[in-house]
Formats: sequence, structure tokens, C-alpha cells
Amino acid sequence: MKRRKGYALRPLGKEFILVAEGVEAVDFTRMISMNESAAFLWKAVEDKDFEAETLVDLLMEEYDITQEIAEKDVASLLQTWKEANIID
Amino acid sequence: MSVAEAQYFALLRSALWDIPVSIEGEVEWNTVMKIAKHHTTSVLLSGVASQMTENKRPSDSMLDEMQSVMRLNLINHLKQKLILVSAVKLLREHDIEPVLLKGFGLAMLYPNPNLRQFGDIDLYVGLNNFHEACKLLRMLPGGYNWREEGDTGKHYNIEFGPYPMEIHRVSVDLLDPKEAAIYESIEREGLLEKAQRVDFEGFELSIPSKEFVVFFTFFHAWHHFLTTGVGWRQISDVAVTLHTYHGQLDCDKLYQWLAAMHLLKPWQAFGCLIVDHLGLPETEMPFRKISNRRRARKLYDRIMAEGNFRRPNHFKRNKPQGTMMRKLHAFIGIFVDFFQLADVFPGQALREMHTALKAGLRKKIQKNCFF
Repeated sequence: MKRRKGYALRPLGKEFILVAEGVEAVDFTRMISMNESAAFLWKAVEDKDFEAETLVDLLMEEYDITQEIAEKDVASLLQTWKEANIID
Repeated sequence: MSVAEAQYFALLRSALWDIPVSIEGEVEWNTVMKIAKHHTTSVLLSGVASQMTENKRPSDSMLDEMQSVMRLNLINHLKQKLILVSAVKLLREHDIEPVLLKGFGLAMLYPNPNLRQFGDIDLYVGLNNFHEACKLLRMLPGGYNWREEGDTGKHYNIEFGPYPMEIHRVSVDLLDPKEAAIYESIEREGLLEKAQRVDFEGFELSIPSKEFVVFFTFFHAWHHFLTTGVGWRQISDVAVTLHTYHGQLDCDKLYQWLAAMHLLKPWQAFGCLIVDHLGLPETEMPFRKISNRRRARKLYDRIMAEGNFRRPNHFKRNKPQGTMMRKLHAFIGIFVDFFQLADVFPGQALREMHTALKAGLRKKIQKNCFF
């Protein structure tokens, strides 16, 4: 999998907002809210091919959680990202 | 200083310098956010509030409200950015290089630019390009001028939906011709000859020289203080510009400009507040004088009592009937302004009074009577 290009991640209080934006255009219908851990993973896989396992490892390393919880969280996150059409 | 005021400044410092906030005891969120609102800093504080430990955070409902306000501010920021980029591109196609003043340019200096509130876009195009620029920008999609008096002498207003843009022929409109001439030479140097190009979220923009950014940001705050009331937002802008350009400023030039415009005393008093309340390191605040602390305390009281755009103007609100009565009413207003200012800055009050009576009395009375 790979992140789709043309998105900017903007920190906003307790959340991060992913915005489909270029210099001259912003798609206001595609603004996605991410929590801190999702934003961490999004930034970590910039310009990289990744698999679900990559995200699980990153999550376990950063947040000191069990593999079972990490796998569950990553599965749910990837589902959201696919539905939002922000990864290929 | 009340507990809520101390808490307000602790939160504001955290937002300005991206540092952890340390508050003992319970945060008086309702009062703190009321102060923040009066000083146009509520979005900045919301960003800090949502990242505090659970026992210090506001209630969930207040947090949700803060998050909505931050999202709205982001959407406004993005929409205004699009308007700005199209305006600059259009002007460049016609060989006009606009210089961005205030708002956006200053927001970019904050740790999180999305959290600094601003109302309009200010573009300086100069006297020679003014009419052509206004004509061009009126043609941008969504642009219209809904007021007959769109041209204020200083700038021309164009509205893009809820987003106003001001096209400036001059950055400041001064009553005193002598002062205006001095300002004009400062403007020529800082805005035209030494404007700098900066990257603005992937787009290259012209902004004034570093010294002019600092000088003009302070001048703007001072003008707010003289007229409608200054908020900690404008004062924070001064602090952030000084911090960003620390070590890069031509301080002799800045001193020369402040002295020429008789702004050294106000600068020194505001400087005490910027260091004491906003936490700018002393080394980053040039020309600060501790002897101005007493004056700074009075200034602090005025700022806290008024806030941004919140000075009550009884004279404009309660205009009497009849031209002569209105003129008299406006004339008295000049003296009321004088006594209010004289309490904090007697020298500046005399200067303002002198200017109003000598050079601008007619203009000021007309303005107060008819607008």
C-alpha cells in the first residue's frame, strides 16, 4: 500500500485534519479527522510502500501495546483509510 | 492580577512559544475563555486547552465547542489562502507585485498558523498600481464591493463572500502631513525597496522587510490602542515577530523609525508587558526600559478593560441631532480621547491633540459627524 499524494496533515488541538489540498485548490469535501496515533502512522509511512504489519510494528514500538491490540487497531484504521480513498 | 488573568497568560504563552503549560489549581475556564474572546485569542487557547492533562482540561462540552471553533478557523484559513493565491497570481499576470500585510503573513510566524485568528486579507499595491489592482481584483470570481464608500483613502474593500480583502494604496493613513511624509519614507524603504520573498505553504509571496514587519505590527497595535482598543492578539503578533526575527533585525533602523514616529515610549511600555506577560525573553525585546513599568501597569489595566475592538465609543453611539451640535459633540470627543490617553502616555496625548486640532480637526469632525 502507499499513501495518496496531495494531502496535508494539519494539527488542530486534540486531532489532526488531513486535507486534500494544493496551492490553488482545496477539496473541502475531503477533510479527514485523525487522532494522534493515526496521524503518527500517516507521517511514518510518507513516501513508503507499507503493509499492515509495518503499521502494527510502528504502533507497538511507539505506544507499547500488545500485538493483538495493535493488529485490531491497524485493521480498523486501514479500513477507514481505504473508505476515505487516501491510500492505494 | 486575578487568578484567571494569570491563567490566561500561562495558556497564551504556551500557545505562542509551544511550551508546556503549568497551572496550579483548578483552571477558571469560563473566565479565562471570556478574556480570550475579548482579545481575539480564543482559538489559540483552544489549541492548548485540548492538549492539557485530563484534570486541567475544560469540560467535554467546552472542549467539543473549542474543537468546532478550531475546525471553522482552519476552513476560513484555507478559503482565504485560495483567495489570496488567486489574487496574487492575477496581479502578477499584470506586472503588479503585491505585498502581503498583517494577517496571513503574521499567522505563518506562529507555532501553529491554523490557530491564529484573522479577519481579512491586506494587500499593499502602492499608489501607482492602486486603480488597476482594484479593477482586476473586482473581476476575481466571487469578488464584489457592497459599500459605496469602499474606497477609504487608505484602502479599497472587496468582499469574497464572508472574506474581505483590503487593497492598500498606503499602509497607514495619517492626519498630520509632516508625520505622513516621514511614514511615507519608512514605507518606501520597508515595503517597496526591501520587501522579501517568503514561502507561504508552497506559494511564494512578498512581505515587507523584517524591520518593517516588526515596526508595522507594533504601529498597528498602537493604532488599535489609540482608536478602538487593542487586544493581546495584536500584542502577541509583536512578540512573535520579535522572536522570529531575533538576531536578524537591523535594530538601528528599527530605533530610527520608532523615534521618527515618536513611538519609543509606547514601544518601551508595551515591551515591558510583552516580556512580563507574554514571556518574550528580555534579550529579544530591543529598547525595553524597566523605568516604564509604572506606565506599563496603567497600560495593562486599559488593555484588560477594553480588549480588541471593544473600546466603548459613547461619542459615536450617542450623536445629537443637528450639524452644530454634532460638531460640538465631536470636538468634545477629541478632549475625552486626550484625557484618556494622557493618563498613560501624556506626551503622545499632546501630540495626538495637536494633530487633531491643527491638521485633522476638520477631517475628524466630519468623520465623527457623518460616518
